[in-house]
Amino acid sequence: MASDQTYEHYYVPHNSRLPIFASIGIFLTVFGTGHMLNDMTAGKEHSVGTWILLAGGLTMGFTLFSWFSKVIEENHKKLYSHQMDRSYVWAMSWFIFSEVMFFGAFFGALFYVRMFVVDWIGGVGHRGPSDMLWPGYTPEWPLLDTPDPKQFPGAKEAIDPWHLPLVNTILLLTSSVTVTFAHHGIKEGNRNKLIGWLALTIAFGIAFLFVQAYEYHHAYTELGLTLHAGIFGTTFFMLTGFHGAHVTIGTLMLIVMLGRAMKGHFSPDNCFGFEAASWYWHFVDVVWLGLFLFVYVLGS
Amino acid sequence: MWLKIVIVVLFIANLVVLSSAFYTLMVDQGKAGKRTANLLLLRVSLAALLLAIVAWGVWSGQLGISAPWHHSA
Repeated sequence: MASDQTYEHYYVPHNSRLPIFASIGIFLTVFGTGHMLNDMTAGKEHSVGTWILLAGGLTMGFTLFSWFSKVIEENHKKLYSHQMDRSYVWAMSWFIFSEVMFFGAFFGALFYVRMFVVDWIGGVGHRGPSDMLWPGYTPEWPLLDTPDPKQFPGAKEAIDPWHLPLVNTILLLTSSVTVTFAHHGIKEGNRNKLIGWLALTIAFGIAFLFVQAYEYHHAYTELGLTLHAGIFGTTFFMLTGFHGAHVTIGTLMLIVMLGRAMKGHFSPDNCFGFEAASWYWHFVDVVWLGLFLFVYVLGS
Repeated sequence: MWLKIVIVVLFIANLVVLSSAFYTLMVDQGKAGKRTANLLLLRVSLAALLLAIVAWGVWSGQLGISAPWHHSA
């Protein structure tokens, strides 16, 4: 018969306010974004939604910081059993699975449009009513024209892959090298090596984001390449934009790991948090390699 | 054509090694051993090789800028 001794102790925290704060933060973020987009559509210059979104972001930032701090504190107090550790490991697995499916969907959309839809509309197979809807359509990629150029102007020109995108590829690849050096530092028990290379990785990550912001500004203001510039602009910004969001998440993860490393939280045989963040950074780098190859270089 | 095949193979190798590193990360759970760190080192080496081959392909003219972004409307 089962008794208390049969099972490991499973720590359950009590009376936490953090889930309520998280709910409020998520609500404000979504409500603020919706409000802001509606005001943008209506042509309003200033929207109260921006402030609501900011409040939601700050609430979420505070909640996540407090939550992670609490989890780290509980871990250091050794309140977690092996079963709890396994729960975190599996949580990481499902998170990565969702990330793979997320990017799989966007890459899938890109391949589907480029390999099939562009030709179908151009007359391969049954063209159907497309000739009536889009007279004079020429199947090509990148598809810079749109069916209604007045309402949705197409891009005038496109970004040269061998300048800013190449710089970003080198930046991200170099950051993967430096995070690997930091990884080896942690495994050798060399804290200075860990901190130095990790700080450099974060600097490369921030540099990547600055270059991407500059690239977007260039695309919008000089090339007419916008999110509304037909399927080409849409797939470009959806893929690279969400990738940029993931670089931001990865950079934040690494900043947290740097803080923990400086506090001496890691040892060669207890560093799952760092290894998971490091792996995530490599994942983001591989996604970028896919973008660089399939979106920029091997296209058409 | 063979250059593009090499590039795609190297990209797939990146995915395979990254997946292997994820497996060792989950199994080892941050405990002793450098399996994950070594696999990630291999991963980034493959990525550097891939980028070097792309650069060589462009430099030698075997890899044209055939697609996106470089066209004018």
